[in-house]
Amino acid sequence: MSAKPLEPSESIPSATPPLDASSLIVDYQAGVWRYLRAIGCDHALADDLTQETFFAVLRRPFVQISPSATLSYLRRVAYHLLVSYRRRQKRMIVTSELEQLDSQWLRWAGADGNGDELMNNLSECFGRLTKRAQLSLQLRFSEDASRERIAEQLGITEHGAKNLMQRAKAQLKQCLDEKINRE
Amino acid sequence: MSNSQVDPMEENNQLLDPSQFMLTMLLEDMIDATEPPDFSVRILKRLDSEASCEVLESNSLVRERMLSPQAQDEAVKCAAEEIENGYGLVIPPPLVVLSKSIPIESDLEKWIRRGVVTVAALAAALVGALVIPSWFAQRTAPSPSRSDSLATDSTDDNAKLRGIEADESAVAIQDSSALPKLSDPGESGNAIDRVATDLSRTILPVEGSAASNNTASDWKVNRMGIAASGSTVEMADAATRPMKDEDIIGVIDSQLSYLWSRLRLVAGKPLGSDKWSDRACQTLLGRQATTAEKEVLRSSKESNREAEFVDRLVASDEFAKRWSRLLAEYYLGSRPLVSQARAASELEFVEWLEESLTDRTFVGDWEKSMLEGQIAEDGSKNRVDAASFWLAETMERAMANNRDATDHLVPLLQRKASREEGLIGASRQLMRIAGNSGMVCSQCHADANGSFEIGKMAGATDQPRTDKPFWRVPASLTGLSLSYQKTSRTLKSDSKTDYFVEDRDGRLELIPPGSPTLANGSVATRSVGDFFQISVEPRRALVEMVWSNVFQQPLAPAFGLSDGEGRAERLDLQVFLADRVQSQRSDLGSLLRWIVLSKAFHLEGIETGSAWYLKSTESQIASVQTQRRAFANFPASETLQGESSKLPMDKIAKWIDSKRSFGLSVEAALAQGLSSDPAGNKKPAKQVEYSDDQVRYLISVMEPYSGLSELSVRMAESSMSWPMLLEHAFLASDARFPSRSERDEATKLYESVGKDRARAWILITNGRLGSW
Repeated sequence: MSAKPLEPSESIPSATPPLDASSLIVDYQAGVWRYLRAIGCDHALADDLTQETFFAVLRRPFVQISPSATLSYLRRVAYHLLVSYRRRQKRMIVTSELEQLDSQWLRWAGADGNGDELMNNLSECFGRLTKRAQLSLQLRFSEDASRERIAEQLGITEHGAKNLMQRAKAQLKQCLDEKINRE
Repeated sequence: MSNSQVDPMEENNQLLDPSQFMLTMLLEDMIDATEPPDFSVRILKRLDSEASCEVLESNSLVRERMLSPQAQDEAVKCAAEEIENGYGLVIPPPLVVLSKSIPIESDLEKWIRRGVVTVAALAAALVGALVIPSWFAQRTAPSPSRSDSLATDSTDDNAKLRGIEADESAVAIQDSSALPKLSDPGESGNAIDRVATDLSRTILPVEGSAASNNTASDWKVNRMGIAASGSTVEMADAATRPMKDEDIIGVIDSQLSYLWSRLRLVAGKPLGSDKWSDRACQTLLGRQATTAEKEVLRSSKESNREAEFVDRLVASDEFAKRWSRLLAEYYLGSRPLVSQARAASELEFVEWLEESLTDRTFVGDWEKSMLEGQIAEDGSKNRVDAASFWLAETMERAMANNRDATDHLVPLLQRKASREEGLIGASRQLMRIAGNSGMVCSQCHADANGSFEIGKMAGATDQPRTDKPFWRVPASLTGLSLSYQKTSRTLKSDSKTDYFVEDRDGRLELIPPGSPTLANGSVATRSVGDFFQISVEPRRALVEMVWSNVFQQPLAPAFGLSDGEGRAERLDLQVFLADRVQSQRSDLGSLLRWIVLSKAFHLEGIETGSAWYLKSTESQIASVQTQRRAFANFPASETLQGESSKLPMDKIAKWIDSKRSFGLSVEAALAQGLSSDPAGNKKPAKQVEYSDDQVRYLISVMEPYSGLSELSVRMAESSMSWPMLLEHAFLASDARFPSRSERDEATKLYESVGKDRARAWILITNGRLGSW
């Protein structure tokens, strides 16, 4: 299968060489997918909407002004597709909260970030947690363990397990914020 | 990777802190070491196939589209605009989060904090030991003037409470996050979490998407919790857990706050307690609050005194009386046919509704009763019981007003009018109630011999594919989002017991007699009574009616609002409220309670009498109208009138006609205020006395809903006859057919404007939209 070269738009002056469709997808799909996951899509929906985003964008001529603008543009297309999708499903959307999540992404990942750095930062912060805190979160997210099971595994009460996880997440958040501020 | 396949966005619909939510999502991927998949092969293959118009095999790697090209275009357009407007150039500041943060302290800080707390506790204990005994002695001693002092105290307290209320309202308007939220999936037990989880159970997969790969069982449950499997219709476990009233009110407030902030509207000031009680009584009972009622509200020191106040009103006989009549108007049309023979039946019907309200019956139950009413064997309109009056009435109107209905109904009734067959004729009226969403596909193909070539109609707004001219315009108006690919499905003859099918969104579709119905598992036939009882769609219409009655503006009209007016947010809110009514089996009083206790109901109104309109500039009028349409201010009390007290069309038509005799257009007459003689004489003409209704009506004509003018021209240029145009006007605004009296009035209006079809159409549609 051959990569389809994109036609340059006449109205927008090209700042960088035209990007072919294949490169566009390869370069930016991870950023779009991570963004969709971060704002609340499950894996299947993130998969679908990422593809849908590129279909939508590549149906018309596309010119890359800058990598940052391209990534922002793709993210916003994905965002609006998500809103459309949920409305089509006739489900309640508190749109302001999606906007808040979008803003949160900008704060943590930056306008031109594809999420890799954010994941690295998170991984680093996670490593700084106590072993018990790490274990509790691993049980929670990896094995989908109930609070009761986590408590049993750690030899603490359910309430204690809840507090432990909350504290761990607060520490992670603080750590991420600090990293952003340092940068 | 987590085993949970629950959509986390649904599960966490209400967030306390976006950073916490996002952290949770990121953690899940980090701990599972999930990496983004590579889609390049799929996407490129799909793009290539589209470019070459190649037909792909269904089992190829390539996925089908999950969203229409229109939705994609819209998303791309919005995104491009946002990027042009500088999205992403400024990183937003951190949000002020209302959650309790957990500080991470050093050991030294921890010891200092604990020391301070201990000292403070000791000091408080010492003060308590010295002061409390003397205070207790004072409180328990008899005091002759205690009631007086209490009265004074209560006034002060009320003043304080009002102040607090005002502050709270102000905060809520500015802060769209003023609703109960949760911080972490699975760790919160609050009601919204539970409901969001329930809603997530009802995810409908999209064909061709990855989400649909594992959905054989998911298809069993649609969003109303209705299982449709083969020809057997089962009630799925629709027992969604209830949501607290305050949470529901919080969602209403949040959604409207977001709407105001998006439209950059400044909401009105919060209302004082007395005015609020007047408004609540006006809305719920149809009269202003008495002094005693106001005093009860004033003297209460409970934090939920307003809720208690509303509860008392809703439980009263007056409430049942007022709303039974409003409901009767809703079910029968604004101007029911009144004849001597029918008046008694109609009264019984109203009384039956009143009893249902008093008993706090679930709305779906009484609608089911109405729809299952028996019609006499000879097809006459003799009522069997009060509940079936609606059915008989609707059938008569359908026969009187609609050619198609007459064609269908008369032979049916002559043959033998069983209740199912009778329902076919009443279906047009049903459509109004069944979702307030206008037409559905099968109506465009309401042909017993027609095939189900509906799939091609989706999105084809320019030339909807139908050979039925009557349905062409509704098809165009509604865009027909439904899409069926019927060719590969097995059809079987109808058993002539059910004439309605549910589509996959749970909406009701009419199947004409003799048409095949789908035997496929994705849809199922259902008796219309059951549909009305268990579907959320009829609840949407009720929400719309109640909301319109309270705010004098439709929440999400079937037609006429643009995205710039927040149509999407309003639809979300409408669906949310309908879902709540349905899943909690709420009565009408509960729905009103949520609305009356919301912040939008607590906003001050702007008095917009005729004098105000004539003095105001166009921009002022436009601004107030925009606010009002977004519920950012409340209609002035003078507009709180029942439907039946509005000026009839023929009077307005007569008035307009008299203005036209001066040679002036209506707009010109209003703009000049008739301060000069239109004939050109120097002597100023006598100032015309406009009634408020007339002025409001004219303003609404001058500032019609977006797109209405364009549509009216399109309509006027069509080759349709006036009666057909008129029906479309009602379909467009109310998604129903006009009653006999409405038809008569509208025809008078049409004649009074010189048979100007576009003009008459826009006047009628504006009137139906209730935009004044």
